[in-house]
Amino acid sequence: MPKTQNRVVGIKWVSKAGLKKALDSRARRVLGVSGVDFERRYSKGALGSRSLDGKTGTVELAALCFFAKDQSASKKRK
Amino acid sequence: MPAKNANEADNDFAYFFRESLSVVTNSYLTGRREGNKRVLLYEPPVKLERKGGDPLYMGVTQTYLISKANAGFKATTTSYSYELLVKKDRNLETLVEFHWHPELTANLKWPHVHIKGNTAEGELGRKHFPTARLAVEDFLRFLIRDFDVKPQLPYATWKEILTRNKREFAVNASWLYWKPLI
Repeated sequence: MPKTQNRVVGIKWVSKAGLKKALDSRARRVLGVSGVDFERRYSKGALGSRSLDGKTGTVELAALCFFAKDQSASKKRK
Repeated sequence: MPAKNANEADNDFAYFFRESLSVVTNSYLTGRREGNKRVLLYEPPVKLERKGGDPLYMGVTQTYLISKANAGFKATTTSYSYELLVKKDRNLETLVEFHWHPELTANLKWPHVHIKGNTAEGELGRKHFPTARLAVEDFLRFLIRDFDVKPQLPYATWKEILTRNKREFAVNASWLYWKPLI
């Protein structure tokens, strides 16, 4: 595709830890809880589909959980 | 036309998105790759200059999927959130949020907008007003036209970028209107 001559915003690709920081920032801003707390409640199913959209912005937090998910837990159990 | 490989599909999609956002900001996006899924976002929200008045803030989250298409690869949006905020007493307060997140809400698959406003009917922020599918270019034009957000580029340049990228979006989008509605 043709690229323009204008300066275009960059992307800072982050690790899971970097995404967790963004999740934490948003959870505090939207719900007033930490990202860890939100992830815990979400993974326990404490936030059902209906209540997920009960507060604006909660669904977007859930979407971020996928990208911030810690997959090292299963390794630790070995 | 589909991209030749997954990287090209990813880069093309991200380039359109980045180029359009450059109309109103210089801030780096945060990105994360997980398998064939991607997320691009502004969190915390970024400050936007205005022609007059207090600054506004923009929060953006776009998730997309890279998959095989006819003789190539394609990037497909899986959810979006475009948010406009204002600072009040040092806290960010949301004014309006355009959402689409069909995978996470079984009973709410259509694109919608949340508008903050206290009315005789009560607080409207939790209502889901149905919309057509929104491209980030629509949101950026809305900010420029209705909230006096100051573009970072000359008029002819930003207008050409948003028009071209919106056209590209409309040509390649697998859907534009939710059928059936609600």
